Formats: sequence, structure tokens, C-alpha cells
Amino acid sequence: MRSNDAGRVCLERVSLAYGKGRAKTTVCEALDLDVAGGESVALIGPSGCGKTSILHALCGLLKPQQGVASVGGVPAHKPRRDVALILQDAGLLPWKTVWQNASLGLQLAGLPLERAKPHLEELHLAPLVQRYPFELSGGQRQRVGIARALATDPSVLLMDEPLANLDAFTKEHIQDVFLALWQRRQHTQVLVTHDLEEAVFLGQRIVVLSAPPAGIVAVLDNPQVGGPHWRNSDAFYAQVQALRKVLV
Amino acid sequence: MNQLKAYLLGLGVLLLLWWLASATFPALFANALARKVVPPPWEVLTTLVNEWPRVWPHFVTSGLRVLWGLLFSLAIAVPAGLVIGFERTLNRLLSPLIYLTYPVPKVVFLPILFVLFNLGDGSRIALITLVMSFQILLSTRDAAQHVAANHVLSVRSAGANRLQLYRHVVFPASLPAILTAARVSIGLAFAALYLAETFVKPRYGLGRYLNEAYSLNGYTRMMAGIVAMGLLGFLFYLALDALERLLCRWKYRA
Repeated sequence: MRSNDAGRVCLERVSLAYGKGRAKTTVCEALDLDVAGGESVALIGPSGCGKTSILHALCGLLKPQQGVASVGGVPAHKPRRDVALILQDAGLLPWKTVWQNASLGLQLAGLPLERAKPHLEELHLAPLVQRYPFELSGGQRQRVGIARALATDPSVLLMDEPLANLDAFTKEHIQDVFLALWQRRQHTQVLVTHDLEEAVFLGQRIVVLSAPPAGIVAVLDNPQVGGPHWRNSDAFYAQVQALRKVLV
Repeated sequence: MNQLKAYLLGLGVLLLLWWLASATFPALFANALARKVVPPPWEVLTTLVNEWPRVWPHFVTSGLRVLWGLLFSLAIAVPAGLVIGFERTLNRLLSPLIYLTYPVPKVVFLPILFVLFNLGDGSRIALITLVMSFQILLSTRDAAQHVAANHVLSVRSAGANRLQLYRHVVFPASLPAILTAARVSIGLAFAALYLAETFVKPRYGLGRYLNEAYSLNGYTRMMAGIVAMGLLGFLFYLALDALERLLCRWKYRA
């Protein structure tokens, strides 16, 4: 069991912008968000509303113009080993094999590379370790991305539309993987998505953002996440409908 | 095997075109000397085989000059190109300088290089380095400038420092372009080598061998020297191809 405080994710009056001078674009303003340790939250909203920027601020890649983005009570000034980011295309390096990609975070941190092994086995990637990313299917690539993120045993998993480029069948399979991992590891999870069903399937809370400069339009509680037959339940479809009403 | 077949086919076409030229030139030109400038391929190849003990030291010396030039230019231009391409401020500051100096033919510096590095191998290697460096620098800079943002983001988010970013992303992403530039610059290096070996004649060098043959109207020997130079260039291309297959396996695995 993880300490709840270690995985707590906070945005306090955070404003984010990119570009400089006249080209400066403010994507969100005075945003407040508090995600408890072990909670799974989905962020949804129109394109350009700063969802990705929020994740970048939380993993220390983007400095807020104002306010504080923090993880575990510590301001996110630089990338940390206990905060992992999963990108849309998994962010795999084409020149590294599955094994080298999965163990990259460990190599950068100077940790034993063997720690990547159980995650590769758990995600059924052990027979593919010598392959290069272009020799994998979209689903396999994303599973390598997950293995890489988990290798450093993070308490927070930030996911930036991780399944956007996958076909429907693979997407559901990886969503199941995300759900099972979250239930077992109890890490904090912040998922950015455009997919309503994905948000309802994985988010205990669904935060709806407005067009830029973004603010929070609504927060939909979704406590039944991970229940038996969740994807096929009436409650799931009712939640998707409720979310659609908020967005339209 | 397919590669070997392609090379053999290319060689066959080259020999055929050469033979056609040698057969038609005497009919096309009234000038007696012009009829001799393209001897038939078998005559040249026989001369090359017979002359090989004489050609060999020239061949090795020229090969070593190009090899040192290639190694020095990689050592200088690759790190410089990576940093200039990847660091925006440096790129803004130094690119105008590169654009101003790139079009200047580097062979014009040969007299200066002879003064700086004396008349020995140093000045010739320096010229080849100068010629190859610009090509490699420019290609490396361009490649580093266009490294995929998601690869950088992916490694930065995993906690990479600047040096690790260069090691795991910028250098491997630019490597195919670096090796292509090295291949392209081999051609330029041989042009520079010929000039450097004829300007102030060294004891050995294919340029000197060619020039001597030319001054004695020995066109068959001259063509034999040209074939030797082509062979040397071909060996460099083969070596760079092998290096690319070794270092960029991710591009070639089927």
C-alpha cells in the first residue's frame, strides 16, 4: 500500500502558457485541482485547452506562469523518478530495442536494469525484448511504454492520450491493462483523453475543462470505476451519457 | 547476395559504356591524341594489374590521408553539429557564420595550409578534413535540429540530464544523416585529395601517380590510376555502409 500523501497531485491557482512575447498563448488560468494519492482522474476538454500542458507542469517539464503544481507536496520543478509520463505514441525510441526502451528510466537513474523484467513479463512482452519498436504492433508498443513507466515504480502515472492511435479492440485491451494495474498498484493516475468512454472507464473523477484559457467547467464523480462488468453495465452507459451532456 | 548482384550489374554497365566510348572515340575525333584518351577497359585493367606493385604505395598513402581526414572531420563536425543544431541560441548565432563560409571552395586554402602544416601529410589531411567537415557539420546540424519532439519529451520526462539527452536521443537520431553526409563527403574528399597531391607533389599519392602518367601522355596508366582511385572510394563507401548497418540496425531489420 502506498502512502496517500506521496501520490497527491495538486494544482494551486496554476496558469500555464507557451511561447514568448506576442506569440505567447495562455492555455489555462488560475486552475485548481486536487487529486488524492491513489485516485484516478480523467481530464477531458476541447483541443488546445491545456490538458497536455497540465501534465507537463506536473512532471516538471513546464514551469507555471503563476501558481504551484506539486506532487506529494513538493513543487514539480524538474522531472522525478516517482512521476512517470506515458505519451500518445508511447514515446519509444526507434533505435532502442524493447528491453532498452523499457529499462531506459532505470538506466538514466543509475538503477539496476533488471527491475524492468517483471513488468515486461507481466505485460507479456518477455518474448519481444530484442525487437525494435517498428517490429511491434500499436498495442505492443503502448505496452512497452507502460512497462517503461512502471519500471521506476512511480507513485504517479500521467497519461497523455495514450490510446489515441489504437484500434478499438486494442484500445479496450490496454484500458483493461491500465485499470488492472491501477487497482493492484494503487498509484495516482491522471489521464488526458478525448474519448468519453475511456474517461468513464478509467476515471474515478472526470474533470471537464473549458476552451482556452481553460478553467474547470464540471467535475463528474464516477465512483463505480473498476466494479464487476463495469464496461458493460447500465451505470457505465449512464455515466457516458451524463458526460456527453456536460460537454455538448 | 542481391547487393552483390547489383554491384556486379553496375560494374558490367560501366564496363560496357567504357568500351563503347573507347570504340567510338577514334571515329569521332580527327585529333590523333583524342583517339587515345579513352583506352579500352581490358587494356587499362591489364595495366593496373601489372602496375599494381607500383600503384600500391600510392593507393595506401591516399587511402590513409582520406581515412585520417574522415576521422578528424567526424571528431570535429559531429559534436559541433549536434550542439549547434539542438541548442536554438547557438544555432541562431552560428548558422550565419556557417552559411557565409560554406560556399567558399576549401581548396583555396591549400597554400595557407601548406604554410601552417608544412608540405607533408599534415596539410593534405587538413584540407580533406576542412572539405569533409563542412558537409558533415551542416548535415549533422540539420538532423539535430529536427529531432522528433516526442522523443526528446519522452526522455526528458524520464529524468534525463542534458548529456543523457544527447547520448540517448540527439546523437542516435542524427546518426543516419551523419553517415550519409560522410558518404557524400567522400566524393568531395577525393576531389580535394587529387588537388592536394598534385599541387606540391608528395612522394606518394594517387594524385601524383595520375599527374605523372598524364604528363607523359600515358593515358592507359592514367586511366589505371583513375580506376585505383575509384576502387579506393568504393572501399570507403562499403566501409561506411557496413558501419551504418552495424550502428543503425533499427533501420535495417526486416
